[in-house]
Amino acid sequence: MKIEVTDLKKIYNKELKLNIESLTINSGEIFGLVGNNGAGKTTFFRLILDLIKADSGIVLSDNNPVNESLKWKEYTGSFLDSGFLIEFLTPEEYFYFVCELYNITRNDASERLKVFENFFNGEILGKKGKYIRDFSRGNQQKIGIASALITHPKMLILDEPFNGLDPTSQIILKEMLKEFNKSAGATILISSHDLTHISETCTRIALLEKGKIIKDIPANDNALAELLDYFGQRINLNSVAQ
Amino acid sequence: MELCALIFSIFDFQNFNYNMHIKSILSHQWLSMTRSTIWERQLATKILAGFALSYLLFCFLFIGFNLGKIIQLVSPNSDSVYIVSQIIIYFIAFDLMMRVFMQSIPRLQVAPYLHLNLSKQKLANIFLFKSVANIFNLYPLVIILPFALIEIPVNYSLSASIGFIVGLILIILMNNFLALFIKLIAQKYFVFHFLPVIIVLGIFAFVSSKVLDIGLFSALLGLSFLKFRLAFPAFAALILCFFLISKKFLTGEMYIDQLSRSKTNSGKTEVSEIGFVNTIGDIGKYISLEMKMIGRNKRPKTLALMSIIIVVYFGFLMVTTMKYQPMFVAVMFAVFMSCPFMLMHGQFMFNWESTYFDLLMSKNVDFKKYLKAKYYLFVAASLVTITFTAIFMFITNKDIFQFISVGLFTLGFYAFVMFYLSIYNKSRIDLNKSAYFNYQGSGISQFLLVIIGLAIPFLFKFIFDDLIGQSITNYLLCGIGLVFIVMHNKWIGIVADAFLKRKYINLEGYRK
Repeated sequence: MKIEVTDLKKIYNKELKLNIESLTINSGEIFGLVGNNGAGKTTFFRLILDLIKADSGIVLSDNNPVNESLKWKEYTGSFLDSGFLIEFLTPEEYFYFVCELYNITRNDASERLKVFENFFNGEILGKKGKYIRDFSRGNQQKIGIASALITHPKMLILDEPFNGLDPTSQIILKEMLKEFNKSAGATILISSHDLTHISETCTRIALLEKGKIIKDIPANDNALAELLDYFGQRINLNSVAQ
Repeated sequence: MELCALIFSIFDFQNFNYNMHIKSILSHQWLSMTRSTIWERQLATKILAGFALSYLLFCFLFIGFNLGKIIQLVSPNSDSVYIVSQIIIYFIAFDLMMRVFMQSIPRLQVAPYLHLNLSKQKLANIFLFKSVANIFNLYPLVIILPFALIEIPVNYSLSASIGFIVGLILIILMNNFLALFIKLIAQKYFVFHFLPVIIVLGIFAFVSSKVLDIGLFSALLGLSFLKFRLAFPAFAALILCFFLISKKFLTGEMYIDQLSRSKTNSGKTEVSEIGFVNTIGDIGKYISLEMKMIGRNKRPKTLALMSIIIVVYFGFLMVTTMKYQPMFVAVMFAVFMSCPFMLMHGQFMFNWESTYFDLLMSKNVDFKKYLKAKYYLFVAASLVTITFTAIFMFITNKDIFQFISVGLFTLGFYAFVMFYLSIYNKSRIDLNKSAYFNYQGSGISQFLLVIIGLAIPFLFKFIFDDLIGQSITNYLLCGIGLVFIVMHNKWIGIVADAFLKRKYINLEGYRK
C-alpha cells in the first residue's frame, strides 16, 4: 500500500506546523521519520490517519483520499500515543476487541499473540484482572504496538515506538518490524528520536525540520553518519558549558 | 494564605522555616485550583455558574436573615432559638452523611512533596488543615451567622450569640475531620462507609434509651453553647481526637503507591464478559465495551448508580406529596423516572470515550453501529425503569398512561435531540475522578440538555392539553415517541454523519 502526499499543509496558531510539497512512500518501504521535538512528526502521522484536518493538500492512501474514503481503515494498523489505548480493559480484552473489529476470531487472535511472547517477556498476558491503566508506561507502549501489529495490516504507522522500551525490547521490536515487512510486504512508517534505530531498521529516512522535509535519503551505510552530522551541527557547545 | 501560615506557626514553635514552606505549598495548592481547566470554560458557562452560585448564596442569606420570622410563622410565640437548637443534632447527622458522600479528600496533592525535605508529620498537618477549606464548612455559617446575630440577642445576650456561633464552628470542624477520617479509612476498608449511619443510629438510640427526647437533648446542646458550658470542651476534644486519628492514619499510608487515584478495584472484573451480548453481532461488542466502561470507572459508575437513586427518590416524593400534581411536576417526574440512565449518562455522550477516541477513529469502527449500541443500552435500561415505575404507579393509583407516553416520547424523540446536541461535546473527561462536584466536561451543553428534556414534553402538553384534551395529547406523545424509537436507524444515521463532519474539532478537544 502506498501513500502519496501532495501539498500538505497544517497551521497551528498561525504557524505553519507542517509543509510537505510532495512525498510518495512506496509499498513495502520501511520509512523512517526523524526530527527534533516539534518538527511535525506526530502531526504528519495524524494527518495520514485522518485524525486532524489539513489546511490544504491531500493524503492518498492506495490512491484514495484518507479524508473521504474509509477504505484505509481496513488495512492500516497504527499506534501513536496513549489515546489509542482503552485503559479500563485488560490487555487480552483489548487485543480481542481490536481483532473483532477486523473479524479476527478469538482463537486466531490468541495464535497471533504468540509471536509477541519474547516482546512481552511474560509481563503482559495472563495477569488476572490487571487493566491496561495499571501497567507501566513501557508495558503500555508494548501493548499499543502489539495492537497495531496484531491485525497484520498492510500499512503500519508507529509514532516513536522505541520510546520507553528497555534495550532488549528495542532490539526485539526492530527484528519484528523487519520480519513483518519481509513476510507480509507491509509498508511501515515509524518516527524516532533514536538515529541508530532508524538507520538500522528503515529502508528510507526522511528528516523533518520545522514541518519541512530537509533530507530524504536511502538508509545505506552512510545514512547514520549523515544524520549525526546534520544534528550535530545544531549544537552550540559554548552555551551548554555556561 | 498569610493567616493560615500564622495559625500553623502558632502550633509549631520549633521551626520557623516551616512558615515559608507552608506558604509556598499553600500557594501551590491555590494555583493548582485557580489554574485548573475548570476555569477555561466558555464565558456563557461561567456566567451561568456565577448566577447559580449567587442565587444560592442569596437564598441562604435570605433564610439566615429571616429564620426568626419564619419560625414565628410556623409556631408563633415560641423561642426561635430553642427550636433551632432542637434541630442541631439532625443537622449534625445530615451534614455528616452528606460530607461522607461528597466532601472531597485533598489527597492527590501530597504526592509531589513526598520526596522533598518535609517530614510526614508536617505534610499530614498541611493536608489536614487544607481539608478545612471546603464549602461544607461555609454554608451552615452563612445561614446561622445572621440568625445568631439578629435573633439570639433578643431573648438572650450578645455573648450568647457569640457562644452559639463558636459552637457551630466547633460542630462544623468536628464533622469535617470525622468525615475526612471516615473517607480515608473507607478507601482501605470499604465497610467504613456505613460508619456514619451506625454512629447516628447509635447516638439516637443511646439518647432515647436514657428517656430523653432527641429534640430536648439537642436543645440542651444548644443551650450549652449559649452559656459557654460543657459542650465547648467536649466538642473541642472531639475535634482534636478526629484530627489526630486522621493524622495517624495518613502518616501510615503516605507512600506514593498508596496515594494513586482511587480506581475501581482492578482485582474484580465485575463486567467481564456478558455472554449473550456478544451474540448480537457487531453491536454486541460495542455494548460490551460501554458496559465495561461504566462498570470499571468511577465517574460513569457513580452516575449510573445515581440514576437508580433518582428513581427511588422521585418515587418517594411522588407518593408522599400532593394528591394532585400540577402538570409540570407530573412531566418532570415522568421524564426523570422513565429514562434516568439515559439522561445522566447521555449528558457526556462522547466525552466518556474521549481518552480513546483516536483509537475509534483510526480503526475499523462503524460509527453508526457504535451509536446504535449506545442507544440500545439506553433503551434497555429505560425499559427496566419504565416498567418498575409503571408498576409502582399502578399500585399507588397514579396516571400510568401519561407517564408511559411521556416516557416513550423521551426515549424516542428526546433521544434524537440528545444524541444530536451531543456532537457538540468536545471536552475531555477523566473517567476516574469523582463524580460529585466534578465539573470537568460540564458546559452549557449539559445544562441545556436537561432543560430541553423537560421543556419539550411540557410545552407540548401545555399547548395541546387544552386544545385537544389530555388523553389525545398523551396518545400523540406516545405515537411520536414510538415512531422515533422504531425509526432509530434513520436518525442515528443523521447524527453519525453530522458528527463525522465535525470530528476534527471534537478530536482536538478530546486530546487535550
